[in-house]
Amino acid sequence: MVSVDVLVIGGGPAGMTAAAAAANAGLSVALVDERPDAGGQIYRGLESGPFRESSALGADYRKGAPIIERFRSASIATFFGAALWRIDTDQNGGRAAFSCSGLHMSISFRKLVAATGAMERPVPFAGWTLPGVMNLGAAQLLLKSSGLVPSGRVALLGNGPLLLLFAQQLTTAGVRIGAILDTAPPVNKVALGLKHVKAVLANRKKVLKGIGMLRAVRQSGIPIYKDVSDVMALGQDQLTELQFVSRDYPAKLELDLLLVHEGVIPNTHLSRALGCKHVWSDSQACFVPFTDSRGRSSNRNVFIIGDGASIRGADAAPASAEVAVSTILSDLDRANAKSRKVLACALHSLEKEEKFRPFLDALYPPRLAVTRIADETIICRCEEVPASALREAVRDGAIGPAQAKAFTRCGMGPCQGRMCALQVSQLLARETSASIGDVGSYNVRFPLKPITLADMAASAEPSVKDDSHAH
Amino acid sequence: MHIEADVAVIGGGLVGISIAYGLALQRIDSVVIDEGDSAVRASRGNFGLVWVQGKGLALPAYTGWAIRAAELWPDLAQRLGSRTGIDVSLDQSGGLFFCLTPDAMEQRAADLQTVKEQYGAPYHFEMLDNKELKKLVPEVGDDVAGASYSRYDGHANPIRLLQALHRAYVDLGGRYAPGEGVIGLEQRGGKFVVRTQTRTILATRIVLSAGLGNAGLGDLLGKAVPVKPIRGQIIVTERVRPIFTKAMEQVRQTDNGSIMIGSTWEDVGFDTATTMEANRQMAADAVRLFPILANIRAVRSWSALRIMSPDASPIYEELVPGAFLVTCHSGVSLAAIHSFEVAKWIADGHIPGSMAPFSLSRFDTSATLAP
Repeated sequence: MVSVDVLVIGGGPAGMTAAAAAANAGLSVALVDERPDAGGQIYRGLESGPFRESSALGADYRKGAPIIERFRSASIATFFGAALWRIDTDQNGGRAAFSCSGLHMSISFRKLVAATGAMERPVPFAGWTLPGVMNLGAAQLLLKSSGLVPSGRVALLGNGPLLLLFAQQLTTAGVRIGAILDTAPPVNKVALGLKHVKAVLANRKKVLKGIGMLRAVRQSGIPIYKDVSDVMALGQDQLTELQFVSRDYPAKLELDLLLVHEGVIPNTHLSRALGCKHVWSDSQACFVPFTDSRGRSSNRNVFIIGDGASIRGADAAPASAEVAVSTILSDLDRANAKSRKVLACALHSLEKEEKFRPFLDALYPPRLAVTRIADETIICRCEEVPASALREAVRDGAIGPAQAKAFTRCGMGPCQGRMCALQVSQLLARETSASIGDVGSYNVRFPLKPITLADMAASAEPSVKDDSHAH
Repeated sequence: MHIEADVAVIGGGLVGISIAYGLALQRIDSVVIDEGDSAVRASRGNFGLVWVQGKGLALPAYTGWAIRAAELWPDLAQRLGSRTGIDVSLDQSGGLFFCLTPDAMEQRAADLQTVKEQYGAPYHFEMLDNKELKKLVPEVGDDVAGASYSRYDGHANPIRLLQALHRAYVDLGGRYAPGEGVIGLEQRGGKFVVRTQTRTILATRIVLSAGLGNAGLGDLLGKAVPVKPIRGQIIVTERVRPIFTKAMEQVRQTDNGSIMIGSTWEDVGFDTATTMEANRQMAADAVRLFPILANIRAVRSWSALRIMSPDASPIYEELVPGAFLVTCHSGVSLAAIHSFEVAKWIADGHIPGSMAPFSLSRFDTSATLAP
């Protein structure tokens, strides 16, 4: 079995930075990612996609290039295109099992760095499972990785920086967006800015960029519906029409494609499976893994960084990685003046990013995603479980997600509850009048991704103990 | 909060809710006290067999009890279906226990022969070699030695059973008080006073049906209850077309189409983790049993804790007058008999003398035989 000091899961900005920093400090490092290339979601396609040499996606996309370059020039055992199926931990570290290029691998580690990033907040509403309704972030990944843009009558529904950015990217790519349906409740942006004045001033560049995006969208002439609620997607086998309420007035649009986005939440599937403690974040309206100021989880050998720890954005991700790696170095008695300097600097920039986040969270709160879900609306797409079935489970005595899942099969399908977990917790909290933090979330089980029994049987075959290092 | 009831059932897993449902059928006023969502709940983790073959090896009286429990099952399934609309998918068309090696085959045959002789009445089982087994289950692998088969066995959907019992119980007027474990239990003025964090429950009789929690409840009454956890790990696959019709001890296809693969037998305390080695071993065994499973994908694995007594058989005991201990690791197999017979004892206020072999005294080596 291969053994390393640090195993990093995830090749986005946080994971790449952590791997490079640890390797450059002399640690043996491996990185595992399910994608074929480095970059994660945010820099998807930057290594080999259609926009690798182009500035068409904006300046922020190009920020990934030096991160990838530093990562690629460090001495790291990389496993891209890997199917990771389980990780076991003990007092001394742990062991991860995955397959890659048809080979079954097992790597033992002293420290695990989980950089599993963010996922889009699930936004169920009537008709959201119709073909023609998809996540906006998913559409953006198609653009980044394959240069695909939507055609036909397209509308964007939701709110948040990514929605604005994508509107701008699509417009640049020559796509005519039919409408933007803004679900953010009306807020006085000036008052909000004054409330967060310190954070705003410290992050002037970001604010100006945001104002620029807003202005660009406004000037593009795309019709914008404000204060949108009560959304219903209609169509037989495919979306044809969207009905909604905007500023208290009913409205409708004929559509071929609706791209939905109400922000992102940490992808906690791995940290849950590892048994790490999670807590409810009121400001981000989602569960986040518990981490201390250095990124250490409730398991002392597991660090969680980047947006997988809490949504702080692409600029905070490398900083959170540097903080965690500096801490790992001191855990392993490898800290020195340089690593302490890096730590101080990274803590400083992380703090700046973290201060800005509450302003963004207040500016773009989820709306459809936190509205009471109608009985007939599907919550679990894999098992086609409607909200009514969960309410029935509550009447049958289920007071938490484990029992509700057992009673309804909600969360038992191929995605293993990734998509419905937050909605189920929200629904149960509402139905039982309990706080969502107390309700908690599903217990996540291995395998992390479906794996054939043949692969499972072969993949962790006990092998001759080999303690040689990867590098 | 203050609750009064004729009977307080402590524990809302399959054993407790089966008895509570049986009490409600007899119009006995009861309340079920249950822990929260994170309770160690064997009822959510089990395999779903309604099983007879092999039961009674260590405690001969268990054989007849298990046969009667299986015979009562269709009535339970029918009643639950008509009251709740939930189909618990009972299928009692026989069950198989696979033996990978000739040695295992020989051991199995000897064990079942012992059970049969101890039972002393007609008892059905057959040992099938690979060729005979293939007639029943053509998918079985060539290097599987064989299987034991009994027509008494079957399976059901254990989770829908749990939900149906809960729904039927509440529909019949039962009260369910979940979310808090018992922290105090005492007798006062001819009543039992059961305390949870915010509730006080006053009851004339109590049922201790809290699985592994019964050990702690016994302590509160000054009685030792010898149950301990034995971990079983299970793998479940994606849904696939119907492949298997028979109930099978190691690999079972549920009515949803998913295939359950079990299970380990591990003495590791209350550790409910799964392990890579068990995943690997169970997957390898399953593929050896049925090569057809090789390319079916596992989606989840989990551990459940069996509630194990020293002879792996149920315990029925009146610990102190009015306090009935009911504990077993066969909450599905025994669900019907718990509803229809055990609930009657609770209503009557005593356990029949014929059940003496199931009492706690069988474990007490220092005790003399009961008169």
